[in-house]
Amino acid sequence: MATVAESTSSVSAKSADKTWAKPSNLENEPRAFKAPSKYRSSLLNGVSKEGPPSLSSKKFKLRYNSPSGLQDAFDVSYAYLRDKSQELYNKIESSNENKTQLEIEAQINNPEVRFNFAYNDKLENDPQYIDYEQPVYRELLKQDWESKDQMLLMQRLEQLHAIPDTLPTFEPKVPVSLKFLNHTTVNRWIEPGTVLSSNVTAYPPSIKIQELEQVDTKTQLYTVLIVNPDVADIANNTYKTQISWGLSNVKLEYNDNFITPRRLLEDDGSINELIDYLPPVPEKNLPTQRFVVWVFRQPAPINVKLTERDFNIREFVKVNSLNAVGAHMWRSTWDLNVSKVRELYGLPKGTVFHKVRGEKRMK
Amino acid sequence: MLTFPIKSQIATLSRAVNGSTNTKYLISSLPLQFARGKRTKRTVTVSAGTQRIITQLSVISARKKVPRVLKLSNEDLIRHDTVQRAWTLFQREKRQQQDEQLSKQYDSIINALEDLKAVAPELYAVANKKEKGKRFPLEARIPVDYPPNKIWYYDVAKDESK
Repeated sequence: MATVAESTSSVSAKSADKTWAKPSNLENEPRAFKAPSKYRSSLLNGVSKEGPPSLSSKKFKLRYNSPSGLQDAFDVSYAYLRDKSQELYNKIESSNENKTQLEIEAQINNPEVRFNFAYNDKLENDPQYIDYEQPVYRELLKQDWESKDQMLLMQRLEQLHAIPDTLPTFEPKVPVSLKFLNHTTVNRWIEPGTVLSSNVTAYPPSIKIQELEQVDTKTQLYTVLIVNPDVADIANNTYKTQISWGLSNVKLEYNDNFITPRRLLEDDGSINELIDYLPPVPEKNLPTQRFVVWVFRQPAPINVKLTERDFNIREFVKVNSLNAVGAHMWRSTWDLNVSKVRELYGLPKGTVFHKVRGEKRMK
Repeated sequence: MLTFPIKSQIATLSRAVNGSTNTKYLISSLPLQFARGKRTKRTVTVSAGTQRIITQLSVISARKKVPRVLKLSNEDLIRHDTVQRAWTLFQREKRQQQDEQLSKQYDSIINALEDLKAVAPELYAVANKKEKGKRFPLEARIPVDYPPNKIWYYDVAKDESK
């Protein structure tokens, strides 16, 4: 039986010069394919006597021992994986098929890439370490997202019936993260489905949309809609859907994709605000309202302006042939801040509902 | 802050002032054990034999059999992961090669038979003749704990009585 050592006996696995495979026509290698110089040596050549640099305490550094035999196994494995990667790069140069997929496979076993991805912030990424321009980092993020956050999102959307109350169904392809910036103490990423105070949501959210697939970022446009399917429709004794905010013709880069108020203010007019932001102002004694954020890929620019809040999202999606790729949601309920928010936006005073059954049956 | 004996003195004195007990007697019998500060921890009353059984059981418990978790630094974790990925990839490629070879062998058998069918149909018929009842003799070996003294009965004959 052949072993790894035999199969790579021709390759010299010196621990001194370890560089990953690269295409022959590469001028400057992406910075993100190299681990930070602080960790690089101990990652590739083994932890030295001073201890691993990832440990901060000197006491633990000195006490640390690497597993025995890891050094030899790593050297052989590194050489083997690097050879495989070089084969893939040669394959890319000979034919142009499946280029992105082959590029991913050529780098996904690179320990430096895996180190960078594992120990840096994936959401607020520094392109020096995690560069989403590189398909391998997008693939790693996709695996990470699918392992938890995607499932969590779908659970919330289904259990809170955002599907099918707003759109019939949905296949998530793009991670969407949400934050309410600046004016509140709640300056953190919102988990889908959280009930938020109306004070927090008084100003429009900042939305981070991380594209994972290979698209042309120069031309691809995105639409963001925030809809509220729980507005009381007293005339018909039912609920109706209103649009809280709408943006279209949003361009996203792989690394620069955070739609913040500042970005909207500094925008040169390319982003079309379908309708301005109406903050959640739930009525007293009504059930919790859902605010569903939908992100679509647009086939063509949308330059319409909406005048009414009442909104048929299914029709809008059909007319503009939008493709839903990402979603998020939060919930709001009446609290003591609602009147302040109403005042801020010049809205009329809210209605206080009572727990009395209507004469007519709900539709 | 007041130390405990002084505290208890004050408490007992105040109780004495209320008039129920003799102050002189109380002060002489310090320190007094209060219910609140009393030790409630159970003293070990297990007999030596029981303790031995407990120790033996804990030694053979499942928790003792699980090896301790290796504490790896971030660098070594990635290095370990790299070794595992290389091994997985190597095994996968080996498996793929074997599968490919087997499928090639199968294809060449099929091709040879088709050729035979075209060239010599009578030989093809003989080659594909069904041999009904010809099987591996199940009675030749039975599963046992240890290998037999005589490994294989080469001249095994069918039992005529059956």
